[in-house]
Amino acid sequence: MLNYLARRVGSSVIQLLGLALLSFTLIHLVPGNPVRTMLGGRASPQQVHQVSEALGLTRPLINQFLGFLGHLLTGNFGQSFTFSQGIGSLISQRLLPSVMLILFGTLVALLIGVPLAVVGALRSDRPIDHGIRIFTTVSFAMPTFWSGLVLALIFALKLNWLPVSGYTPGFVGIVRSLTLPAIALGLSLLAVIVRTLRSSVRHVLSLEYVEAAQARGFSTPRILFKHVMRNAIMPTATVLAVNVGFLIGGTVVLEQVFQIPGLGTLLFQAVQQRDYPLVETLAVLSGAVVVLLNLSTDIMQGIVDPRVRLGGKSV
Amino acid sequence: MSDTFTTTSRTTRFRFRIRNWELSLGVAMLGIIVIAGLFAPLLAPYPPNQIDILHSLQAPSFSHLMGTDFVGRDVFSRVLYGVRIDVFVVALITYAGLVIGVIIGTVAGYFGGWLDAIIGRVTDTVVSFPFIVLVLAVVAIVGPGLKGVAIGIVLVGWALYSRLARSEMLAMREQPFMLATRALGYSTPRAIFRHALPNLVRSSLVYSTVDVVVNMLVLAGMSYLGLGQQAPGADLGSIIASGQGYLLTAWWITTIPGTVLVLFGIGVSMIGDGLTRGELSMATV
Amino acid sequence: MSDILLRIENLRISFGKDDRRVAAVNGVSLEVGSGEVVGLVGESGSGKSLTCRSVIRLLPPGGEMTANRVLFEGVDVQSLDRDALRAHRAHNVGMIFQDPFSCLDPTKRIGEQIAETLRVNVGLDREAAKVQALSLLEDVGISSPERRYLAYPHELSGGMRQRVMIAIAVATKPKLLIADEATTALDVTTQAQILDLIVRLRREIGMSVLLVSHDFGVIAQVCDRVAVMYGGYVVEFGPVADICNRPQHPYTRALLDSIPTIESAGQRIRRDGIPGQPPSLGEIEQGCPFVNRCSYASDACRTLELSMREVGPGHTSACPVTIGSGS
Repeated sequence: MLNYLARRVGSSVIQLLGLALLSFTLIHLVPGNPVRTMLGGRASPQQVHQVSEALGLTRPLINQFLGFLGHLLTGNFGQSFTFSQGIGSLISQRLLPSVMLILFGTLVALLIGVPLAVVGALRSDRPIDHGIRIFTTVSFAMPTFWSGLVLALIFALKLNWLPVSGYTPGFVGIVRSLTLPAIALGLSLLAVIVRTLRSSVRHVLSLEYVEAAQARGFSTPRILFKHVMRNAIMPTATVLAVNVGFLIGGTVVLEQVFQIPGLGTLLFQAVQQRDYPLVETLAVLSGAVVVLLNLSTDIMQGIVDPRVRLGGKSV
Repeated sequence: MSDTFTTTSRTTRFRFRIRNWELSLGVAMLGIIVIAGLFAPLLAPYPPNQIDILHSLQAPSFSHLMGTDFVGRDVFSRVLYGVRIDVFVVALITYAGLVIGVIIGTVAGYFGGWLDAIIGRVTDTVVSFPFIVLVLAVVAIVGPGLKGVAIGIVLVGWALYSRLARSEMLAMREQPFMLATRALGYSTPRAIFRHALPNLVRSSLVYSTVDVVVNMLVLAGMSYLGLGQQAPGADLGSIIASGQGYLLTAWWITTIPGTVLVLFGIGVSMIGDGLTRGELSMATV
Repeated sequence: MSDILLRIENLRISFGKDDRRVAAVNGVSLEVGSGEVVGLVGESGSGKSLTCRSVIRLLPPGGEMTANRVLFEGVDVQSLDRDALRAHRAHNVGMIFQDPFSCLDPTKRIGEQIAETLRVNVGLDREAAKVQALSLLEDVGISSPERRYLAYPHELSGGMRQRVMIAIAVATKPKLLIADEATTALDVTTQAQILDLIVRLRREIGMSVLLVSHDFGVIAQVCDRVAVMYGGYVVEFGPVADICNRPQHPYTRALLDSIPTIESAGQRIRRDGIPGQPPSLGEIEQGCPFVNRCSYASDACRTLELSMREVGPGHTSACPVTIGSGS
């Protein structure tokens, strides 16, 4: 187990370094002078030089990269170009709405997706299974911002049940303001969950120990929840972790639709105002979230399924 | 279990028929959308950017099939032109990513060693970035517009194909016919490109049906955010965005182009499903 | 053998839809007395597994069974509703399978799996279930049960896993134990130990055993009576000793001849099994299923209506030909 853990953590660290290097390279080596684009076409070369110097962009690249890494490691992240604030405090102000939206959206996707996947697996290749597949195909094809708008049109504008946009803190406020974006986000994730879980439930159902459990006279719900789901859930958890990047992307767009002051909005503003340090930091952090979540699902898998531990030991 | 059972041929054939039905419906849906885009200049009843303030925000009617927007532009004509540009861009970037990724992955899988290790790390890194975040970062550098979005999507998109092609190449490297090309003294590039590639491309092509949908959604999303197609050019994402302020008074501006996007995605997904399942049932025969 | 525990009459099991139904079991009749060990022997695909599964109505997807009667303690299993069927599976019948590994939940400790049966089916609380599970582990001959209780299936040997399966199967003290090729996957020594264990538990609990095997050697060791199955039919049924000494059906005879024995090992007698292949599903429309491989076959065999005839006390055969005793 320790060996497995060490290898997994090691490769994640390399990946995190890669993330930092890649986003740094992207900003600094891509043709075009970021400061010039930031200041606009009419800026004089002197102005550009001054600003570059002030931002430390004239230092050797390797020093800049080490400085960037240092910022990431200490968690202070440096200064934003355009907000007169440290990046760290900006992020902490905007963190909660985004995290809430992602969690809420995942919850919606699971609440709808798990029952559909189980029904699809139990009745596979029957009409209801085909119906579920068509439903997920449709939900997969819907752009999140569009389903968000349609939901807002129906439930906020026509029916007046929920606010059209905005974000209010507090439990009730969060639930009310995030319900519609969370449904839109959940719908976009639904297809992945239903398809992965359906096929793994189907696989587990075909295993002999399910038949053996039936022979022991266990009830269908008991077999399903105590024996099948436990073994079928891990592939879905892995896929969920992989798709966190997808969820983060959906959040960026949905926060614009519903005017939620989260990290997505911050990133959007940073992109519009060419605030490179901020873009860079947000990109690396969002990638780091994906890497760390993947790492933790792999470790979880080692805990839930004893065979993974064994495999880790012998390899 | 000592008794084994095989599905009877009847149900297998029945299943295959459903898949084919799915495949043909997908091809039909995609075909109509692509042809509509291709012939947009012939089909569009109005120039897409022709402003007609007097007839703004009109509901769908015979003269304006999908109504008009807030400055009186014909939504149907704009949707046709939007489809034209979106489908073109999406096809271009998806298959550019496919070509680049398959080549890189094949090379990595064929040579192995340190080259494979480096390419593998780069692929892992690119894949772990949230797609849209990386595209946004590229747009921040290149500037708003379809060009920035396209560069961003290709920059991310190749990685999954590379991973796919690499693993297929690894499996294929050990197969007799590849060993035979080496025994016959063929040069390395010839061995890779003439003999292995055609076999590798299949799985990437199947995966590309998912990728096309995802890329279309990202492209539309960026245009919706105002970072893709710039005004007054029409594309589905920007048309949807232009209707956002008129949701209650002019629902058609937002809902109809979105429906077209959804139909496009469904059509492509059905083709993908039809292909994979057809393959599966062929494999089981 | 005074009371009959299980009586199956004219059991048919088929697969597929409507006009394309193929029969896998064709009118099998069978009985098991209480405390008796009955063997079901035959090649793969002869329908023996399906036949024993019909006792708890656990057929593979798409399988449908009909029978005049499947009486268990006088109650027709076919008439049970869902809850009654569950109770029947839980309390009356224990079942063990060929591959004990794939029959255990890979992610749960084996002790918990035994305890689960006790909690769900017997209604013990957590503590009592654990105590009982530990004593069951000891009963089935697993040393240091406290330690094994915490093991996962992949940490045990094949024989050990089969012992665990047996512990689960007998946890509720069932009246019938069905062992479906339970020793096939094990090496010869372990096989003998598992058979001994089954025989011992049968005595202690006073249950009957329905032992399914393709190996006549295994059947001959432990069974009181045996049913020989071929192509979905029972072709011969009777006391083990009687069938071994005077097999009446040509198939039984061929099956017995194909067992290597100590006496035959030194001689130059061919022991290479029965020539030809068993029929595949749906191949037999009428007549005797063994006709194509039978050295006694005549044209009449292709059309005859199969029925069991008495060839000795409690000994029936489906073949109309009378063969001289012994060879």
